[in-house]
Amino acid sequence: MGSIIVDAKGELCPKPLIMAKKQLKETAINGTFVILIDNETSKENVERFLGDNRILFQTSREAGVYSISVTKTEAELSHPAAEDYCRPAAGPAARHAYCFTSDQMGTGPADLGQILIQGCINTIKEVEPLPTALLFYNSGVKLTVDGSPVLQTLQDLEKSGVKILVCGTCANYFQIKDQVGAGIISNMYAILETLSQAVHVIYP
Amino acid sequence: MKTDFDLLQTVEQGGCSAKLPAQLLETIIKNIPVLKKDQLLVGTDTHDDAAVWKVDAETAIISTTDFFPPLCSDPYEFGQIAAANALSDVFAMGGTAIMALNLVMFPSSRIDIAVLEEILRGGADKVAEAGAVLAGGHTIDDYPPKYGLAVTGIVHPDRIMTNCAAQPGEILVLAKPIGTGAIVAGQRLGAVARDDYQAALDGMKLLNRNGAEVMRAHGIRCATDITGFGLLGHVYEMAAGSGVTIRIQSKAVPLLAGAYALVDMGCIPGASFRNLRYVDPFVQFADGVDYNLKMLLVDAQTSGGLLLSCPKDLAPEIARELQDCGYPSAALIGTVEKKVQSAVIVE
Repeated sequence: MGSIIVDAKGELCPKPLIMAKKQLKETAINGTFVILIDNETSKENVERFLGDNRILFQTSREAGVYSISVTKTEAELSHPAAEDYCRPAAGPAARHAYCFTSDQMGTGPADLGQILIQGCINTIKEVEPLPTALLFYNSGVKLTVDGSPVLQTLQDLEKSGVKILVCGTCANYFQIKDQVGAGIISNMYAILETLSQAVHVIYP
Repeated sequence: MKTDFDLLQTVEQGGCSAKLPAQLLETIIKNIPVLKKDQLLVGTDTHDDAAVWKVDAETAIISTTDFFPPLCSDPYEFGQIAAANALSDVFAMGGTAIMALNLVMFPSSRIDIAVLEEILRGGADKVAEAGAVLAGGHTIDDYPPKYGLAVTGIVHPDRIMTNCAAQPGEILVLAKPIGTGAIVAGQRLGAVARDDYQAALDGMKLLNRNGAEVMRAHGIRCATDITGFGLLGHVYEMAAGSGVTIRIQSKAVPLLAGAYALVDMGCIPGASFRNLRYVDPFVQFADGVDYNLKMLLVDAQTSGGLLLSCPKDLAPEIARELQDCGYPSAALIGTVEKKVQSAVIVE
């Protein structure tokens, strides 16, 4: 099958996106095409647009040119995702992330584990620079609910710009989704994306 | 002196779209020590429009600056827009502009100096219209050109309008339509109708002075102006600073003619994606919010309108007064609520 090529090389924002969107309109369901882009910003913005609209794509890079292969599915344009498809700009903004996979720290007596995890979270804000994100999954989500001894700290960190993602599946499992008092309820996509962009991931 | 020089050929992104990303700035600004002084009533910590210094019980000084590269072809219009944009921060704090200084970067060996004369004439005309005095400036040889002002204003210390005083139960009123970023980007691609483009330029030239007078007359305490971080960026800062949640009705937000069609064809400036990344963690978009509207809500505005929070029963009257004094699109766009999980909810 000969691919349709949209050549946006040498074009600056928002031209590559306009070209991509035009091709998308002209492509039949299950049809594919490839967009060629030679600058990072336009590539990120086109990817963000496709991700927000739940359009399947795959990006490869060769000799400084990005090829974004797009498959048009039934996905309706103009339905934004509530989830965080955010792809933060590369550069100094990306730092470390903490992963809390349990409401305890380490293996041992439960009460000791809980004391330790509280100490850990309360200390995060004292350590410069602050992390990019805190991720909570499995029983770790219990740390983010109303009444949690670290809730205030998490809210303070959030105000300082630290992204806090709480696993929605986990919050549902423990039936505490409506009690989550900090961060945003998130999904595996956003969690994996945040993890993959962090400079280091710390598992306390 | 008239000139035919097209300023737009000097830049890739002009106006407030050329701002550094907010999240990048935050990472470095927080490492810089800040001296606290009791007289500094508004400083850096709330991302407000301007700094405010209390002189005595009756007077506080408002200090602010703004400059940017060209966003339109005509030098005189660029001067007017850059000046209106810089002056706006004083009005957004509820103040009166008294004095302004020119900030100029201009490549005298590459562009006819007559172009600069036109830029400065545009700026001076707006400063005069604002009731302030142009009292000097500073000029650097640099390419591409940039222009703006440092502005001093005054306000009564008890009547400062900050961006962190929104109260649950209040209503948000926006004075000017949004979409200048998309229109300016579309103009470069030749995709904007002539009338739509001129209406956008006229909107950017429009001073927020009359709007500030309406706000003063009603004793408004919470206001800001919409600029480079887009409507949602500034709404988020208002919500976070006030400790509330703000709910925006996306369909109620006034748009510049032609802006929606541009975004629908994919003409979404890079600055919109940058702004979306900034606000994304704090904004909950309800299912079914139109994607094009979503991208317009993060469209970087240049010399955008006043956004004010006011008591519910006053809101229709304030919107009507704004409509009558030069802001015909003024509209009620959202509500202030008690803080829930997301700082901003868009429906």
